[in-house]
Amino acid sequence: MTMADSQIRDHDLHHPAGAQAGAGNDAVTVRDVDFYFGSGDSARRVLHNINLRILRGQIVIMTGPSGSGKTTMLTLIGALRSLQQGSIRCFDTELRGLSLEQQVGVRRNIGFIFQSHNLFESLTARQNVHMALELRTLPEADKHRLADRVLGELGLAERLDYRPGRLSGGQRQRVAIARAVVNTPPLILADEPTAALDKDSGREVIDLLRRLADEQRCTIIIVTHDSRIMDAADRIINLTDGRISSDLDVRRTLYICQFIKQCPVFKDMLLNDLTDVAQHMELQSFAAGSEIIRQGDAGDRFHLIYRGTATVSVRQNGASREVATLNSGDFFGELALLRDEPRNATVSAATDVETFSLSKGQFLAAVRDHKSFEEQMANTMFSRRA
Amino acid sequence: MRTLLSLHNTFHNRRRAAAAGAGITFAILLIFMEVGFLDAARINAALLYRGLDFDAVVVSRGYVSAQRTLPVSGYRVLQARGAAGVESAIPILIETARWLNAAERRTRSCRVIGVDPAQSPFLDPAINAQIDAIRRPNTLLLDRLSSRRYGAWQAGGRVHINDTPLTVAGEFAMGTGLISDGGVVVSTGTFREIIGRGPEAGYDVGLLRFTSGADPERVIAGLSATLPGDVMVLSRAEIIAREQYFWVHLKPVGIMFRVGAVVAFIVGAVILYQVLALEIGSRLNEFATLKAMGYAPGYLVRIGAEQALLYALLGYAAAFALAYCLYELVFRLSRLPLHMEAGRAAVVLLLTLAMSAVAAVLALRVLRKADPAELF
Repeated sequence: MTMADSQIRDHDLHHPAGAQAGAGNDAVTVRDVDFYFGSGDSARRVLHNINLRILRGQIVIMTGPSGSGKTTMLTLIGALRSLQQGSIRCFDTELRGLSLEQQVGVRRNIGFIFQSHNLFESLTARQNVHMALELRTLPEADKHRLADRVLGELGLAERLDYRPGRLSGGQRQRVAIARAVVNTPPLILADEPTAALDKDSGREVIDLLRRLADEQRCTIIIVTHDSRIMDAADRIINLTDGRISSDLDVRRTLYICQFIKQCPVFKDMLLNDLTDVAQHMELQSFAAGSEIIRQGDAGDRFHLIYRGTATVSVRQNGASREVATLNSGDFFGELALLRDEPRNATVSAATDVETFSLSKGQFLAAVRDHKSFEEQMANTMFSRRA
Repeated sequence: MRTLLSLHNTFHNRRRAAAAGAGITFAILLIFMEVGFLDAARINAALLYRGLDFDAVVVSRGYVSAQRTLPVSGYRVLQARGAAGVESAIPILIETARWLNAAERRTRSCRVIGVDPAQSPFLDPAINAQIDAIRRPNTLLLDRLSSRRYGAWQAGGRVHINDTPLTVAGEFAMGTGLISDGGVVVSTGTFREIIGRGPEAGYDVGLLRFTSGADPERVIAGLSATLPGDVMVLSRAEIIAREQYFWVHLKPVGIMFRVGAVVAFIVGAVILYQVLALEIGSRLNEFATLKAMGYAPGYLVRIGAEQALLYALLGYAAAFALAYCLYELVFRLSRLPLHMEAGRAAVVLLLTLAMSAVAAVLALRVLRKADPAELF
């Protein structure tokens, strides 16, 4: 990822999951949701105390083993099931306690993409898309224009008058996606949308969803196991046994991983472990002129500069000497943690600086878990002086 | 314009649509035929009385139908003639006899009507013009609408009824249909020759004509009060209704047609229910998808109801055309007065709609199973 890319994504990096943001920015807010299948003694709990905030314009991938409750989550957010406990706000509508009619109203603002396309078999591709458009009052000409355009964008311009029976699996799924997105709903819920598609068609579908998220600020929740499309997500939420087992900000994680990988401590780490480290890093801000770490202090955190410029100075014999300038992507502070020594230099913010930082405990835990710790330490000590 | 999902669904699977349409058409055709036969029996039963010129009848207390009654003595007819408001009283004799088809050496049923040629009770001018011809003994007027099973006959030719040789003096058109294979009109004298009983043993029906300006109800009330209890006086409408009731409600043929119509209705409803249930069942996912898209449950019901209506109307149209042809065929073969009539077509249409409503209400319960949460 280049810096230019990460600049575009600033907004997301500044509001990682859990951070406070204006309510107007929230697409879906899930609070304390429990869900049971069955009732009485045979009741089975499939969701445990789920809390989640999904922002507008985000693509969220929900993944996890089958039976982990991710599909149930999707049906609850889509107002296809009634909530039992907790609350889900979908834009400005509380879904808890909605009547059937009100649920129908909520669904009109949601585009559903199913694993099996569920097209109307007796209708042509164009008529299938029209079924979605007919839920709105639009002039006839606009409906035609919209349906043909969306189908065209999905590469189906030559198949407008084909019934599903004469389309390939990939084409059917694309018609289903056209039907789901033609009304540019603020929320799109998709279940394995690429499972039936080959690599190229899958990519086209994901690109279209990405465009909808970026240009129309559509919020898209995808349940999938398809690792090929993970990179399109802003967030990856992992459910295990009805609980959120991890909630990953993808851009942030990618950003952190690519830079800390250059740090000898993390160099040989598996991506999986790196991701864990990235998840534990916190965004910190420092005003221009302030000291981020001070020479002589006990080492408490490891820092990765996200934005801004910092200077490294060493005080020796009463004179302070500037030895280096650090920019975005540079990291510092690991030696004091590894050696359990005081800081050997002062790093101060030359401009306003933001860093992702990791506490000493987390840092050491990550390093300890990694094999050949001794070797790593030796490497680190020999290859670095700062 | 909205996309007509019901129409597309109906014709999407051509083979299924054809099979379903054929089944429903058959059921509706059955209704057409049964109701047609019932109507024909009703019309048929009234044919005799509609062809006679009278305002009321005096018949035995034991009257069941024109062919099954006890004799009324000539004296009662005379008594009736003397009552206030009665202009004339013409007695007639009716009996079922055996017509011989000489070529087949088999006998066929024949309704013999005995009248006094001097006092023709018939409305048909064709009969009245020829009525004098039967004054000659052992001559008859033959109903041209008699069954083909009567074999060949011609005016002036020799025929046999109850083994009595008779001469055909002329012909007329009335029709007997379900009542007997055919009919003849003879003089009371010839009637005695054929049947073995004459007016002296009493008449079967006394036809009364009222003076113009007389109030029929008052005249009938007066007659009923005057005449002894062994006879009863019925108005023209009453005797026709009674005759129809006998043929439609009491005779097995009538009951058969009524039960047949009910069974055809049930068969049609069941076929239509099966077609709809299969159609909706095989598209349950699509219906669930409609729910997920934000279509209200009412819309789903509408789609199903429209399909029920489509099937029913298609079946009706085909059955109408088929029934039209079959009616004509039956009429030619049996002389039963069976023809397509607007009233009956409307009744069958209403039955068809009721049928589709029943089937739809039952089949649309399947829609409740369409759960959008199951689509994932």
